[in-house]
Amino acid sequence: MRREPRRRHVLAAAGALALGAGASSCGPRPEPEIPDVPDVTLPTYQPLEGLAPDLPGNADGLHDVYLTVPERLITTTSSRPITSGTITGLTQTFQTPPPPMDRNPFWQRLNSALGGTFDLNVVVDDYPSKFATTLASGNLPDLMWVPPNQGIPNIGPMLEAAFTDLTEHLAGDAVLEYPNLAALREDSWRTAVVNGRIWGAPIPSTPFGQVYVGNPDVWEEVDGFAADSAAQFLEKCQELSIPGKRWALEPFLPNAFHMIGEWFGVPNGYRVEEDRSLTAAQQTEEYLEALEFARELFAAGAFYPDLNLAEAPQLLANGTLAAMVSVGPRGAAETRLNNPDLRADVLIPFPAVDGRIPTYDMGYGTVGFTPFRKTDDEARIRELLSVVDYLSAPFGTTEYMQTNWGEEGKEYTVEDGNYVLTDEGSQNVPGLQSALQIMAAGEGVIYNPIPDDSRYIYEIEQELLPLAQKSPIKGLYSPTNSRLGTKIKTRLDEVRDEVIQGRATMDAFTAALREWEEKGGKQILEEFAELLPDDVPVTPSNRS
Amino acid sequence: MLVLMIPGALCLLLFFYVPILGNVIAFQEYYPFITIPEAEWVGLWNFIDLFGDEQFLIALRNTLVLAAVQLALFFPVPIVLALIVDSMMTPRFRKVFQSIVYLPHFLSWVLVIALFQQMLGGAGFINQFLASHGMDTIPFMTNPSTFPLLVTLQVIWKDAGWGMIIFLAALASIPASLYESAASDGAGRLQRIWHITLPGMRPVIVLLLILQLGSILTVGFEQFILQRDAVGPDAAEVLDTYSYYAGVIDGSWSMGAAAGLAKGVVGTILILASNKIAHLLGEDGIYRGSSR
Repeated sequence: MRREPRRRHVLAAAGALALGAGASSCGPRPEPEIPDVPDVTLPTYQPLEGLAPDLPGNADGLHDVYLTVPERLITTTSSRPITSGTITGLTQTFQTPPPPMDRNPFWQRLNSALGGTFDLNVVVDDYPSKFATTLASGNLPDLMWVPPNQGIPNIGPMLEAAFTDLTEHLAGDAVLEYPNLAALREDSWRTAVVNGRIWGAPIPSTPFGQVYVGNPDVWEEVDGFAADSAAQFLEKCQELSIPGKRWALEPFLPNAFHMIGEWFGVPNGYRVEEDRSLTAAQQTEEYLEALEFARELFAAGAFYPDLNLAEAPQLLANGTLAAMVSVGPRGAAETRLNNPDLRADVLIPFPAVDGRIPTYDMGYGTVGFTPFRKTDDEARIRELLSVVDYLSAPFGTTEYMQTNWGEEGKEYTVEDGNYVLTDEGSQNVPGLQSALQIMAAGEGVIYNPIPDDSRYIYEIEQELLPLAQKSPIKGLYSPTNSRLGTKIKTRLDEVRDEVIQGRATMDAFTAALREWEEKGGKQILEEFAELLPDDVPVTPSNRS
Repeated sequence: MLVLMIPGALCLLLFFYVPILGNVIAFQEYYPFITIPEAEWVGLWNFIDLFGDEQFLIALRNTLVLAAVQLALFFPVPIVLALIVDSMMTPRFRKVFQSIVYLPHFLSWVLVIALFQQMLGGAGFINQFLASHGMDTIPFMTNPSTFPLLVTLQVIWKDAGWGMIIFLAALASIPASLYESAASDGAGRLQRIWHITLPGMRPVIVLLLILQLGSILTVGFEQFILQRDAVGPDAAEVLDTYSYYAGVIDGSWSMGAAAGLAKGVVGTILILASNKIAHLLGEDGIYRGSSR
């Protein structure tokens, strides 16, 4: 009973605080300033010499293909990059987490190759939360993966406040000191430029965007995984469904809607108009058409009925699901993880209605970049750059083998011209390899244990490229988008998903769109339009 | 004695009272990459924005509806369970029953919801049966209007047995002689429950009810975030998920803190008010002022 006065004090203090705060809140809410953005010289592109792919890629994004492993590996670095003992980092793995360093010979061998301890904090799930809380703790590791495509808010001010500006070390010819970083394409570098400064090395992933991959055995029953129109696609979905046993599509609606949008010619994020203003995808007529269709598809029972579905790849492999969205054409071979005999088919975007030209959205091309904790220590910066350079070595180098496969005879062997993980390797490599690849990587190549898979993916990439559209705002950062973009877009997407499920009307979507425009959408479009480089083309018409 | 209290008191101070000061970011424009003293002071703007945000109001409404439904449907269940267990004659059967009903408490929400999905989901046991027999499926897990009932059912399944334990203890403290004399006076079973058991449990019931009211706005986090996509945010957004999305995901930590603070203030008012009501009804409640 002595407690009560204390409670009162706490309440009184809170009340006083609230009043005090109220008193100082007379003026309007302070708005953040929009910084002036200087132009930046991107790092010079200088490909590595001595790499010999079996099928050549090109500058549009077509991948180099290796049908079998290269006979001779090249070495790109001359000394061990870690000189100060220990480097720390925060990253994520998409595999089972690796055994810890002291019980992981693959990790220990990597440490000796790097010349010190590479101490990684490997996050398993929900990276944005871990990232945000690490940031708030103020106790940052040396390297911290920033995934802009996962919506890290306020990225510009965050980088200025907590990370090192690497422009003078990387812009123009300065990058040539780091051969693997110089071998990253300009397109990749754009994602590591924020507010006109370079903040880290980009992490290239496939430049191709999402595709539907389908189980060929199931689609065979309805004349194959292709369609002439949206209506025919819907018919096929209905035809192959078996109530309670088989469903046409994976239930993750944002991805499904992305695919449907392509068939209707919805632009990749934004449409660049003749006057170089921007229209957001969701503001186009095509988007509404796609939404109507997605709603029909849902009502027809084409989607698996439980929206939280963790085992979609397994269900695709056993034929319970006919199709799911994969990260890119290379997903065609990933079904072999669940069913070694199954290579999935890729659905090429088709015209949803007569006279429409479908689009194929190229992806972001990178999975972000890895900035360094703020420091003025020149030697430290160079050391970290050397580490990232080592980790960015592409397929066909000894460094790549060290970070992705380990040591021959220990973690992997070469059988019939293929790398094969040993039992020890299967335990120790994938978790760490995935974590390393997400924080630094070279330009990707296609390499599969089955050469025909590689050929198929190469062909599909060639079929997709004529329809391909790059996002016009790639590498541009609008302050309003970075502050509010995620929030207002999330709200709009949630309403969209409600509409697809028949729980909200099309009018509700239109209303939500107005709200998006007013709460920052228009401002975002204006800011991006102002930043839009001259070499970004006007979006071509989608009518034939 | 006082010396022994020091470590506990320090922990309490360090991990409960010091972090309360962090609520100051609700009055600031705070970002995780700057320190709290550096953050700009914006007064009550976060609260003004908060109450102007339709999503917050939806979250508040959902929280209140869910809290009311849970209070009405969940709260009596452990009492009833305790009465049932208490009336069981064979100790062995009683032990088995008790274990079965309280074990689900130790399952995580992920498992509980996975189990519910396996049974009631669109591709779950019941719907698969319906679909394969040519009947229409029933959207148990995806119907927003029945969502409060669904989550209450989940809470009952998971926690009713656990909640029963305290009531069992209260029952044990009622002297058996009271029952015996009532029985010899000719009181029937229901009469004994009504005139002896329930009055004997009343202080505990009132205490738990007040505690429940205080945390009523904390309807749960995992349970809702896991099912948010299935029924949509309009049905499943609660104050805790709102704080998480606004703060951690959208990056407006200050808005998230403001939502949390608003929740805390309402919770405190509810505790004080219900404690007052308990006093008026002649119960002790959770505490009494020193004046009494």
